[in-house]
This record gives sequence, structure tokens and C-alpha cells, in this order.
Amino acid sequence: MSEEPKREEDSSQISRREFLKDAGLVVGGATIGSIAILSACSGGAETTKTVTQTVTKTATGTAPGGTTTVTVTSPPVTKVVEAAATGTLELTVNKRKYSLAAIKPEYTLAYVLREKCMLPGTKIGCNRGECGTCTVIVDGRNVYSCLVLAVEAAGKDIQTVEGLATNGQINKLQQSFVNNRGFQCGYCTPGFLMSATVLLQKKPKPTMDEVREAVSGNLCPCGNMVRNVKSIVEGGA
Amino acid sequence: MADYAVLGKPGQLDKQAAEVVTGQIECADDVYLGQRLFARILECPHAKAKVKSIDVSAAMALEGVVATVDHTEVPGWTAEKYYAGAPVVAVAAVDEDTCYRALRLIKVDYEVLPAVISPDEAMKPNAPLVGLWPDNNMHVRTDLKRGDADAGLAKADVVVDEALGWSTPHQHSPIEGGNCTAWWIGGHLYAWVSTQNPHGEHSGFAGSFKLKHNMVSVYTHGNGGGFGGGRAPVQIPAAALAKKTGKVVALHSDRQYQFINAAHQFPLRAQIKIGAKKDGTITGIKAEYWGDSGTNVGTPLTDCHLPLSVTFKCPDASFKVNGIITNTQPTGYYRCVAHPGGAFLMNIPLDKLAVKLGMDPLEFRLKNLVTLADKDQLSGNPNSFNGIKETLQAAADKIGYAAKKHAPGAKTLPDGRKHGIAVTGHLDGHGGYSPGRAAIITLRPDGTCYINAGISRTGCGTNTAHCHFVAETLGMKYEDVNTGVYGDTSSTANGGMQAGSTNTTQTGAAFVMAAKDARVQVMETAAAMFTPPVKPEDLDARDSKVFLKSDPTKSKTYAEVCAKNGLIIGRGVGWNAVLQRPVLDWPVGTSCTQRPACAGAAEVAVDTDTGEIEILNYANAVDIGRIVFNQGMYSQAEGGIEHMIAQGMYWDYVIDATTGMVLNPCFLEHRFPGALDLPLDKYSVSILEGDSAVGPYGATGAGEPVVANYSAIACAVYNAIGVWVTESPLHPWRVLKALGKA
Repeated sequence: MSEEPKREEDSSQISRREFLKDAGLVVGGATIGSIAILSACSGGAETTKTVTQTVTKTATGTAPGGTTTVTVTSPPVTKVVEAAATGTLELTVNKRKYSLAAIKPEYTLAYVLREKCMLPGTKIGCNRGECGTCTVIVDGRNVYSCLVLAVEAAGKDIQTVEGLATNGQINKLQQSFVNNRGFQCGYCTPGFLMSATVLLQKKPKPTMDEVREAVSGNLCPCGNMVRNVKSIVEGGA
Repeated sequence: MADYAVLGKPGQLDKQAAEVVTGQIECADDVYLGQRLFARILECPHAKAKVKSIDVSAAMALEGVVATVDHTEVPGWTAEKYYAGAPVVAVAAVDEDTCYRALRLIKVDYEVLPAVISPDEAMKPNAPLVGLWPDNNMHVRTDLKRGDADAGLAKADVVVDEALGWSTPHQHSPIEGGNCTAWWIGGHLYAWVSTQNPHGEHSGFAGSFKLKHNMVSVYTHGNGGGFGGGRAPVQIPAAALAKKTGKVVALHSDRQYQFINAAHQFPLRAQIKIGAKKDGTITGIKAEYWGDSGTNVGTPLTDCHLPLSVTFKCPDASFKVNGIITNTQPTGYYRCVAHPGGAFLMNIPLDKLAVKLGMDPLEFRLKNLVTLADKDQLSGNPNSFNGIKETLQAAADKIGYAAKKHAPGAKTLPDGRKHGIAVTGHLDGHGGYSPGRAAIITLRPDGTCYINAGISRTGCGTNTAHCHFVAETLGMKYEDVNTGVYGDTSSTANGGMQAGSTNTTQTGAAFVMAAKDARVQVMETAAAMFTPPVKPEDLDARDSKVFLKSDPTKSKTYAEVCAKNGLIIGRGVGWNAVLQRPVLDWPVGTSCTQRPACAGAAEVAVDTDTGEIEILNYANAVDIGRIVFNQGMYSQAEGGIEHMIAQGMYWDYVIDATTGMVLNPCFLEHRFPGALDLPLDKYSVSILEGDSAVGPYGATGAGEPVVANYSAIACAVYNAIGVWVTESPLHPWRVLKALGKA
């Protein structure tokens, strides 16, 4: 077994491609969660394979651009079944627990929020991580919900636009968008609000440039960017 | 200037703001009707082909797939496909992922046919036929002559004759693509559609499925933007699948499908010859234009000459337009249609001529403008107003043109980049008259008012603008008028299309008429409430109070009037494009043409090593007659700058020359500028109120004139580097090519 390099990033993160390719699908009524799915498979043997990866930086001093070998341990592969429904999932959205049925591992968080949690506030603009319309907050970070698998979000704190108002009262940020006309069609607005929420938690009085950075992953095809940004600059005060 | 109580007042907010900021604006995809099926569409991979057979058996065997439809079941689809990406089969399944798996299992046997991709090839005498036009690939040819262009040019001291183009082809995709949720109940079709024209969709469904109009209901509330043709048509296949399955079907056009199948902006090319005397007076114009229409034989390119043919006084001129079809994706409407491209093409020779004459380009334009006294050079009618001179001046003043202008190539910035500045503008063909709109308003027993609008909401603020018109006309406070039902075709009158920059003012005109109608009933009711009773003509209204003109202290509140008469309904139909007040010698009732003036001024820095352009400042000026919804209007004019920067520098629809496939059908590669690209603190906006003599309260439309001047960027780049980039968008490599460095 080769030594595993210590990397700055969490090396237990797996990419969506790796997950779908190596982990297989769970059959039956087992609860699906990002940890549970790796252990709920039955039959077959664990497989290991060696993957050569280029690392940019290591604690052990491997030169940037050098290669090292990493051992990836995959759970036993089960038969891929094209089933209509495969499992249940529990998600915590806006501090509320949702127990969801008929969840497939390949469903995105965006899809599940809209179709299963019945929260249509998160809109879908491209479904491929290019526009930011579907931005939600997961464990304090703004993420594209179309690039998060629903099963990955189990056990995490998810916040959507529906969680911003309290008892029907819109919050200061939303009020700033109302006052400044931080919208035209409004379809990208939930995404901007969520990116803004993350920024304003860290910086209640951001500069225009800090806001531009924070929403650099949110497109506004109507062309309302100047007012979207102004709404956020004034949204934490 | 009249003292308006509500119209144009700053601080009055969008009536649907709360829905927007809570994410509760209901779009076509947000409709929950219990279980619904999802649908996706299989695209044809060939630029031209005929479907010989389709085998869906493997797809249908996949668990979760419910039904498929093809050209034999979808009205309007044919076995012949004319562009890569055209729809072939629509499939309905329990979720989107199953749809995509199903698409991959569908086998289509195509007869691949010879296609013609490039417009230059399509124009050749023995070119393969696109197949959508008999005999050749030229679907439209117009030839507009006035006076004698050759004679006019012969009189000139200086002439320019320029080959220009192509102007920017682009997919201006709104953030929400084509979406339709369809459901049939008892032979009645219910459809939630993302659209700028709900009543138009209604007629479309009725025609396609041979239904009586009272067996169709179309709902359109929120729409994620709407800039013209940019929505992939999914309504008919959605309804076809819903009919076949008996279930609710939601067909969401995914981003790739949307980029390919929504109508995109056609590129234009031109040969423009302009001649002028030494003193700068234009004596003759000869312009010929070509457009690549893709597969759309109805694409609206024929008024690409309008910025040139209408704005600058020239009785000896000719304008030819050639529309070419190709086996590429359909083109269609974008905001301002053929004018941004037409303006890009015309402003280059105008600046070249000015430079040859030794005149400042702005002075040259100002010298040749038509005035209010001139009849419109296209329609022959008087113009209802003419603000082009003031608008050009406003843009120039805002950007500091007088102090900053210089000869082309003459100014280098301290960091080594070249500085450029330019102003362009024209009288626009949009925002004019558009008939066929009706409106209804209802007064509640407490004196507040609902407007009932047969239009959708795309975000430009028209719904709120209509509330402004009604409040002003009724003499009500702004907060007492609210949007009620809108976009529901079974319970609204036809408010028309949200297009052509007509919705605020033409549908607005219908609302003004409806408010006037209601006002008659209000005044009649109120008049009888005074002691002693007065005549309705003795009364006026303001701030939700009906008062005696001779003694305003004597009044009845709207609440009191409506408590007495709780059944006041106002009905209105839009008015005619005739002068509502005299203009110069022309009396009330004269047919007129409405042309909002628009201008843009750009200041740029160009890096001659990388070709990169930085927008240092952009000033957008427009004369829209009257500001109605103040905040909405300013956000439109600012947003227009973003669309112009996109048209001038970023958007580009790239089609592969061999296969006819779109190479960049996504947001990152068909680049949409984001917060870090846009010079957000460098915008300035001038909105002039020239008081159109035909629009309601003098207002015209504005949604299009505000995006018409990306040519200012091109002209500013010329001013910076002294050489012309005659093709747009102005990618860095095009700048380098013009500089001879690439």
C-alpha cells in the first residue's frame, strides 16, 4: 500500500463521476445517505484500485506537478437496476426535516427541493453549473444545487430562499432588493439572495467589489446586475 | 409640463416585488398538480435529413417511460428536419433522468440530405436548396428607393463605400427557457406556458389541436425574462404528450435545447455607400444588406436599414435587403430586432465619412438629422415627436464627450492602452403603434382597484406601469391600484404580446381607456352624493378623493363612492396611432409614426497587445416620451447597457461550418458577462421626456431602444486604435486581426 499524501483538501471527497462509476446503486429500501450508501451494499467483495494522480502540493514535499499513487477503495459493486424508485432520504431544509420517498441516487438537490420538498423557490436555469440560478446554502456555503446530489446533502443544513422570511416577514436583504429593484424577471433572484446571504453573514457591510466577487457565479440575463449588486451592498445594513 | 400625481414618480415600487424576493413568482415549471410526468426532446444530429423510421421500443421498455410522440402526432412537426438540433421525438417519463436515458435508447433512421450551412454558399446559383423556400434560398428581397441615389452620390464631394459585417449573431437566452406544463381534462386543454404572449399561445393551441377557443386555458404568471423569440417552442409537444398520456406533462427545455431551438439573432452584412458635400451634408445613400435567417423564412430582418434610412435626412437613397435561409438554427426576434445590427453596420461608414471630411463624428451626425418638421422618410407621416438631437447630446454630455474627444488613434493612456470615445444614435422603429389590445379594471367596494391584464410578466415592469396609468387616470393613490389576475387567458381580455416595446404604452393605452370608462361611472355615482347633487363634469379626482373643482375641500373618498356603487368595472381597447394633439401644422387625428430616439456613448481602453477592450464608461440615453414607472424605466436603461456590452463584446452564436451544429449552446461558452465582467459603477443613463403626441400621456415604449447602440463600442474602439473592426462581437482576436497582429 503506497503512502497517501497529505493534501490540503479533504481527500475523502469523491467526485460525482467517481461516485456514480465506482459506488454503484443501492437496491431496495435502504436509507440512502452519503455515508450509508457505501456500506449498505451486500454481496461481492471490496475492490481496490490504484489511481495515479497529480498533486499540486503535499505536506511531505512532493514537488508540484509530480505524481503519486493513491489507493481508492470501492465498496462491492451491485447490479445496476433501472428502477423507478430506490430509496428514502431525510433532508433538513430551512430547519425543517423532510422525509422523502422515491429518491434515486442520481437526483440533484435542485430537483429534490423542487419536486419532492415542494419548494419551487429554487429555480433551474441551466442544470449544469453555469448560471447560479439554483444557488442554495449547504452548511454555510453557497453551492449550485444542480451540482449537488440530493444524497450528498443528507445530514447537512440546507437553506433555500423560502427560509429567508420569518413568519411571512421578509428580511432586510429581501427588503433591500424590493427597495432597489434588485430584479427584473425575478428568476435569478433566489440565487442572488442565497449568495448574498452567505456574504453578509461574514461581511454585513460589503464593498461593491466584495459583492461582485460573491455573486460572480450568478448570472442575470435580464441585465439587472447593477441593481442586484446595489441591493446586496445595502442589504446587510 | 403637466403635474402628474402618480406617473413617473420615483419611489413607487414593483407591485410583484414581494413575490419575487420570496421566490414565489410562479413560473410554468413551478406548477404542482399532484403527480406529473417530465418530458425531454431528442434532437436531430443532421443539418438536413428526412426521418425514415423511428424505433422507440427500447425506450418504452425502460421502467418509468410512459409515452413518446413524433412528427406523426405533434402538429407542426414534419418528417423533414432542416437544422441540426431540430426536435424529432418527445418522451414523457417519471423523472428527467429517465427521460435522458430513454432518449439515448431511441433509434432513428435518417435519410441524410445535402445541406447548405453558410449564407455565401446558399446564395450561389446552384446551391443545394434549404428546402423551405421554392427554387432558391432567398426568402425575402426588399428594394426601397426614394429619389435617385446615384444622382445624389454623384453630387457628393466625399464618398465612402464600405463592406461591413457580419453583425453579432447571438442567443439572447432568457434565464428561463421554453417551459410548458400541459393537462387535458375532458377535452379541455390547460397549459402553463413561459411566454411573452399568452393569448397568442391560446390561439396557437386552438389551431394546432383543432379546439374551440373556449376549450383552451393558458396560464402565464412569472416568466424568467423575455427578449423576443428566445424561447424554445415546447408547448405543442408538451400538449401532445399530455393528450396521449392523459397525465400532467411538464416539458422543460434544457439549456442546450434552448440555445439551439429558440430563435436566435440573425447576423447581418452590408455594403453601404454614403456621399456628402464638403460641409458635411449627406447627398446620397446606397445600402444593401444581407441576413442569415437560418431556417426561419419569416425572420424579421427587413427593417435593418431603418436606423440609417429614417434618422438622417437624405431624399436620394436606396436600401436593399436580402434574406437568405440556410440549414442552420432558426433566427427570429431579439430586442430591437434588426436595429442593433443595422446600427452597427451604418455607424462605421458614418464615422469613416466624418473622418474623411475632417469633421467630428458627432457634429456630422447632428448636422444631418431629420427634425420634427420633416415627414418620416419611411412612412410619409409626421412623427409624433422627435428627440434625436437632444438624445445624442444627452449621451455625449453624460460621458464628457466634448472634453474627451480626439482624433482616431491619437490618445494613449499612461498604462499604454489606447483611449477611445464615440457617440452613436438613431430614431428607432419600436415603441410605436400596436393595435388589438384590451383591458379590464374592477373597483372593489372599499375603493381600491384591481387591474386585470391579459399579459405575462417578463420583468420589464409593464404590469406595474399599467397600475401607474390606471391610478393617474382615476385620480387614485398608487397604493390603491394593484395587479390582479394576469396571464390567464380564460379570465382576461387580450392584452397583446409583450413585445415590440408596446406593452407599457399600447396595452397601457387600453388601461387608460378602461380607467376613463370606470371614471365616468365613478363621477356619476359621486355627483349624486353631494348635497346638493352636482354634475359629473364639476368633479375631479386625486389621491383617491373625488372633489369639486370649484371647491376642493368638498370631496368624497373613493371608499365612500365605491361603498355606494360596488360594481364599477372599466373596459378599454387601445387607441389609434393618430395625433392626440396638434403637432406643428398637423391637426388632431392625423396619422403619425412614433419613433423613440436612442443614443449610446462609449469610452474604452484598448490593449493593442492582447486586443482586450475595457469599457471605461457607457452612457445610455433614450427619449421615451414620458416616464411611467420610474424605477422600472431606469432599471431598463441600465440593463440595456449590459445587453449592449454583451452584444458588442461577448455574445456569439457559433455554428460549425461542416455539420451545422451549434458549437457553444451553453452560458459559459456563449458568454454571458457576469458581475466581474461588467463595469457596474461606470453606467450612466439619461431618460428624456419628449412627450409623444400619440402615446398615452405622451409615453412610448422603451424596452428596445435601450439596447440598440452597441455600435458605440465599435466606434469607440476605432477612435482608440485608428483601424476598424467591421465584424462583431469585438472579440480580442478580431481587434488584433484589425491591427494586423493576428
